[in-house]
Amino acid sequence: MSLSPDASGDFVGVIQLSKPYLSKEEITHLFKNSLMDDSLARAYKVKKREVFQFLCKLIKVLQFPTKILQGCFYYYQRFYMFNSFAKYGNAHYDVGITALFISLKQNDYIKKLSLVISEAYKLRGIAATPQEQDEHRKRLLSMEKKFMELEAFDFRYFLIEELLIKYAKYFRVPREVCFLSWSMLNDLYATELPLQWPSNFNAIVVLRTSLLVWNELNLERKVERLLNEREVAVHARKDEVNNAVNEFLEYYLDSYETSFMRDALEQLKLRTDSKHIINDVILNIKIGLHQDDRPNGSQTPRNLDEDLFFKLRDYDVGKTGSVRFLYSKKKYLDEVSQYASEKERYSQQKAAAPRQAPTQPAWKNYRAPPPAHGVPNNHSPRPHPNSSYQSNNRAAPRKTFKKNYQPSYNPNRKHKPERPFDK
Amino acid sequence: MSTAYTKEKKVGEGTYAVVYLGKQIATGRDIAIKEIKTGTFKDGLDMSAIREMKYLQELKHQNIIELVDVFADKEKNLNLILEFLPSDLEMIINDKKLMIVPADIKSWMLMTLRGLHHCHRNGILHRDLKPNNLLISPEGCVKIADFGLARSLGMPNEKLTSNVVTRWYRGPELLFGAQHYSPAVDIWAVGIIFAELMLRTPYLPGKDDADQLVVTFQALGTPTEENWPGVSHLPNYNNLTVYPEPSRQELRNRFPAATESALDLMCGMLALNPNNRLNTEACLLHGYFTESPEPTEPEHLPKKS
Ligand SMILES: Nc1ncnc2c1ncn2[C@@H]1O[C@H](COP(=O)(O)OP(=O)(O)O)[C@@H](O)[C@H]1O
Ligand SMILES: [Mg+2]
Repeated sequence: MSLSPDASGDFVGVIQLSKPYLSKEEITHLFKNSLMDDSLARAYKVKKREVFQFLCKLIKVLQFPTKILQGCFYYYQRFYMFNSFAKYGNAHYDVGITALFISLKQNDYIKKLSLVISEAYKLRGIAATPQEQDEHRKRLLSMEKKFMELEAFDFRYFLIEELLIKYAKYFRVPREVCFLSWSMLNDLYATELPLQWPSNFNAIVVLRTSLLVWNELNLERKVERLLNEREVAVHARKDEVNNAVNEFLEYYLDSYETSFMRDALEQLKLRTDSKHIINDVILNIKIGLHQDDRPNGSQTPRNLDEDLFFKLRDYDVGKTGSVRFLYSKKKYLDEVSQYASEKERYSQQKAAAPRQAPTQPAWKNYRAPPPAHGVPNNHSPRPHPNSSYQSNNRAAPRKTFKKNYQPSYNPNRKHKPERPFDK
Repeated sequence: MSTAYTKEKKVGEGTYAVVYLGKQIATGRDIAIKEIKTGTFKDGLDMSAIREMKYLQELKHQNIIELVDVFADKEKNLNLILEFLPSDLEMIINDKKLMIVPADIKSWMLMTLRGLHHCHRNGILHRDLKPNNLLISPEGCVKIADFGLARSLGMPNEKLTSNVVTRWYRGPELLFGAQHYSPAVDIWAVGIIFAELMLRTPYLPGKDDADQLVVTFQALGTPTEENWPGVSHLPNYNNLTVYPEPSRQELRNRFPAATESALDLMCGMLALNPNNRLNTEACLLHGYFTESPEPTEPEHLPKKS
């Protein structure tokens, strides 16, 4: 997602490319902007944990499955990446409930917002009159709008849970380990991994991590499973997976006591005392990972400051014009490449006909169209996680796990080229 | 609107949106602008709009309408930019001046099933297939549109609402109020569309929900425990008159122009028991599509006059 003035060069419209995944570097940069200093960063962390625990409870009360948490925690974290914590820090419950509400919609659970709000009040033990609750509802709806713009109305979304189940079946992971990994997945939602990686990758990370934990705790009942993620079309480098597993384990260092993993270990009648789990199990695994701490290769760091996308969001930006949301970088670049020829055509036309629409770009002042900021030079160190879907050269997970099924009756499934422009 | 598109005339109105014709300025391409009426929503952005965006963002196929862009304008209205598709299958069926030959029907069926196969293999149910939602491009290609009711398949134990699909195209499991159903509901609808293309008139036009049950079972037989084990436990299964399934000869009389394999395919799509219904793959591999005549090339299909 990038912001830039539209092709006409003046701020009539804004172009915003959807960017559902960001690199670690980009996330760090964004949080540096939104959190500003260490004390705010600490406050963010504390509140995030508080709200996430609250949302877990709320979901239970409302009888929703935990998979709702994926979208919910994703949106919550994204919100504070692009909005100043100094300004919105005290609205953390509102941000959380709005994130939950959007996640419900996205997962096709239709619940009235007023109901979600009243359950939230009950759970927090706050008394509120119906009018107060309705006021609150309106506040949350305007917050929902902010979220939607932030996400460029991009609703593409793949459940990690679905993929985890498929992969676990495919690799014949034993039942108990499946249960452990399913539980740990609920912890993964609270990390920054879903902000960085698509769901198929995260499903592999959970599966691997849970196997490591299981084996560390069951030395005599080790599960020797070769998880070759390439078989399920997850083409990640080994060090990428290892780093992600490591990042996931970090979560338990300070959140183990309240984690889903702890509950699962208890149910599996395994050792649960935090001293053992953290000092022996988790740290042992971490040491075994031989993780690669080097920052990605020799890439020179990008200057993210120049890119409007990495600035705090200004919701007024669309007030004077329109905001255009883009889902495909390539399509946009193709479009931009046609501007030059269109310019000629347009000036010929213009000689003959009056302007049709008042908002058309003033081609006479034509400047080279500024591509959405960050679009053409968006070569991130890693090719896949932080690019938008279509420019992602890995197939999306839904499409990949079909054992290369190629029905023969549909020979020309490829997209036909777009209609030529002069047709 | 914006610098990238012009908005010209209104071409349609749906439940939650108004559709306009426009142009993408850079490419001169015709586009449709579906303006979502955000102002009227009680509970934030409407589910239909979310579904439509979500599934069109996820699906790319030559027989599925393409979502080009999404725009928020000054008034914060949402605009979906779609490829412009000037006609639909309903217009063609209703245009009595048009002559439709079996090869044309085969071509429309093939394109519809290809698009639907793409939905299903990506775990997405359309749930509102009908001739009016099968739009047709200037080149004659069928494009499945209107994903406002679509949803992903979900887990096997998840409850779904049976209040989907326009009445005439609703499969028996939906008529019985089943809360678990499968891609087979879409296949039923395509089967009914197949029949409608041959008849040039709606096949099972029930007057209301109760009548739909009667009309459907009179035409195709009443499901029983014998041909559909478990059916009697579905919510609306009660007080049914048991009609026999139509004989082969009866079907031949109903569809005089249909070949034997066309009838086979239709029966496979209209199996009462959803578990016995063909899936998209089986439909596409059916002998009907390989026997003569070959499906008409899209550009040679009859067009709205
Ligand atoms: N891409 C398009 N090109 C041309 N007309 C369209 C397009 N999309 C929709 N329409 C017109 O607008 C009407 C309503 O659109 P539709 O997407 O079916 O919305 P609804 O969900 O309200 O039925 C359609 O019946 C059709 O006439
Ligand atoms: Mg419609």
